[in-house]
Amino acid sequence: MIHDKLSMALPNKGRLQEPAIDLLKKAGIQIVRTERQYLAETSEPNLEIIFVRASDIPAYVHFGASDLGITGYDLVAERMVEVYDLLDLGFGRCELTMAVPKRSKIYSVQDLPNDFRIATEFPNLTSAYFEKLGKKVEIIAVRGSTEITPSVGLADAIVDLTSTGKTLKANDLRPIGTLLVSSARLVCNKISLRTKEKSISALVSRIRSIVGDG
Amino acid sequence: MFIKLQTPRGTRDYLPEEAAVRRIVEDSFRRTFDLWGYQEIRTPTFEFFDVLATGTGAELEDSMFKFQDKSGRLIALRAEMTASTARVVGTQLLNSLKPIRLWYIANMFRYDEPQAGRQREFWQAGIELVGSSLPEADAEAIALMIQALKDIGLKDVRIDVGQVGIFKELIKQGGLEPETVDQIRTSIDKKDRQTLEKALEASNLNEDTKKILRLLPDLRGGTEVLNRLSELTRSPEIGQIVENLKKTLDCLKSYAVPEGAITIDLGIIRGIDYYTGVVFEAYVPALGMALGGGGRYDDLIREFSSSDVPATGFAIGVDRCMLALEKQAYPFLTVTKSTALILPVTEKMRGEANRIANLLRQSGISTETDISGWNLSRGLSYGSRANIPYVVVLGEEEYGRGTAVVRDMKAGKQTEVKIDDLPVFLRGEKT
Repeated sequence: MIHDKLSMALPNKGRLQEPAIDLLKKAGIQIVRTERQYLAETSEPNLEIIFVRASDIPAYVHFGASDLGITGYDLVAERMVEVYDLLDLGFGRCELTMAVPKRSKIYSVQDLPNDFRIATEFPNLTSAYFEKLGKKVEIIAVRGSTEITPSVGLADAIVDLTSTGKTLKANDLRPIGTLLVSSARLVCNKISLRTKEKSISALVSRIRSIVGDG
Repeated sequence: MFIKLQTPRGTRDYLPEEAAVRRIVEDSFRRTFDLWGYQEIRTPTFEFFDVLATGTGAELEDSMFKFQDKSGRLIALRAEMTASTARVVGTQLLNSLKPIRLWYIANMFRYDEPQAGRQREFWQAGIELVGSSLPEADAEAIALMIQALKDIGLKDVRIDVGQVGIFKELIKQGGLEPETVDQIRTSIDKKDRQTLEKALEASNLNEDTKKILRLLPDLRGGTEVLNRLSELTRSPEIGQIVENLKKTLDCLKSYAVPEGAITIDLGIIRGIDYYTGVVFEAYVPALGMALGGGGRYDDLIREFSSSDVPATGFAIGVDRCMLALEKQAYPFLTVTKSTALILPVTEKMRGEANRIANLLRQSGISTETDISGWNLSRGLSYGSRANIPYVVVLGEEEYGRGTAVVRDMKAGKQTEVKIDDLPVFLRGEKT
């Protein structure tokens, strides 16, 4: 039983939204839309849903504006927030991949010359990755269409999410390394789990029974 | 040009109204630490990187602001105070009378991704208690943290207490690669059971150890979790650690800590490497982030001195306390600028205004004088807009009689008061 008032942040659009809503449905939680677009009630009297951008969900949960959230592991890592990572939900699998133009002479991340220009929507993860490798690169933060940046001369390489590799191929790009493997996660605010432990555990075990421990 | 209008990401200004409220909170911390017999310590804002990085671990190291001085030495802005304090103790206070009780309130710098409740420049109030390895010292640190947070006006302060020694002891048995240890630690800390399971599977730890590590994220509650742990292991070292933790909790009972304020959470494996024993985190249900934390670091001072000096301590995030107070709707007093404004009506009275202002200041009444050449109506209008409770109007005629007219701005009432009686009048009327 969910005794405490809980709020869960779900993606308001994008590839994670449908599987997330579907998962809740399978766990017996129906979402009832209200007049306000970003807010929804559920079949659980004490569980409220807020719909926000998937990339903002880590910040909502970190601050405690939502107790729980479903979003990609890549987005949690990029935001560098401290949240509990309670469940790998299994869907939304993808990799954060580094890719160069097909004709490039570079075949591994180790070969990169210094001051290589890399376009990415994940500047924090990318710079942390190259700092660890001891390589000095120039990172160009973009907000989408990363894959076209080498062809127009903005960048020498990209770091972007891939799941099938089709987009890379279509843009004449070749993967040379994986920075991170990601999937959708159920994340939780660190204080909420302590102050609303029983309710959150009850909810989590219902969801866990759907996704398994896999 | 644009850059001139901004401050760097993660920094901000505190204008007088907000600064005054922060001052109230900081003063409260100072008072509490003083009352418990702690003394202030100040250390440099920047130090050699190698000093600040001692024992802090990769994550904090990465987040430090680093730069080179002109001779090419690597310098960093302090990201926390414990390494600096350990350096001071190890190099200058080794032969001092123990225990040493120190406090600080200082700004810290971390190159983190800024977000609500996390700036790149932030303030910490904390203590270090040096020279005792007994559970009594851990209990004092925890009790003082609760008291300090209560004294600033926070309600429902809670502390979760863990013991990193258990994790360190368990992991020691495996001879694991640092990356594996890190993976196990991070996944316990994040309660990420799936990654934990994978890391444990891949390790050569024995089944009994794996069983306990698997359980750590769930071992949260009262003393029953310690009993549960004891049932799972016959290790005398872990038995000793559990006994010590029980003593710490026992000792805390005598500090009048409210029932339910303390929870054991063996899943707390704080991110900073130097912790060796009891660790703790403070929070209030109203805020989704910990207010601060601390713990025992018995091996850190040795890094600066080759002597073993046990120590414990904590740091409270002042900025997060401000957020928590706001969330709990703490009724901060409206901060008044000054109690009195002296308004000379004629040029002749200007010098007298300053003399009277000094008289009031000596009596502890904050006072300002007109420096803009205002007439009566503009002066009164300023007094009212600046929220100054009393305007002392200095006219030549009244001055001749040895008096001045005091206007009570709230009541709109005027009283002629003898100049010598002004301090008593203004203090007496003040509520």
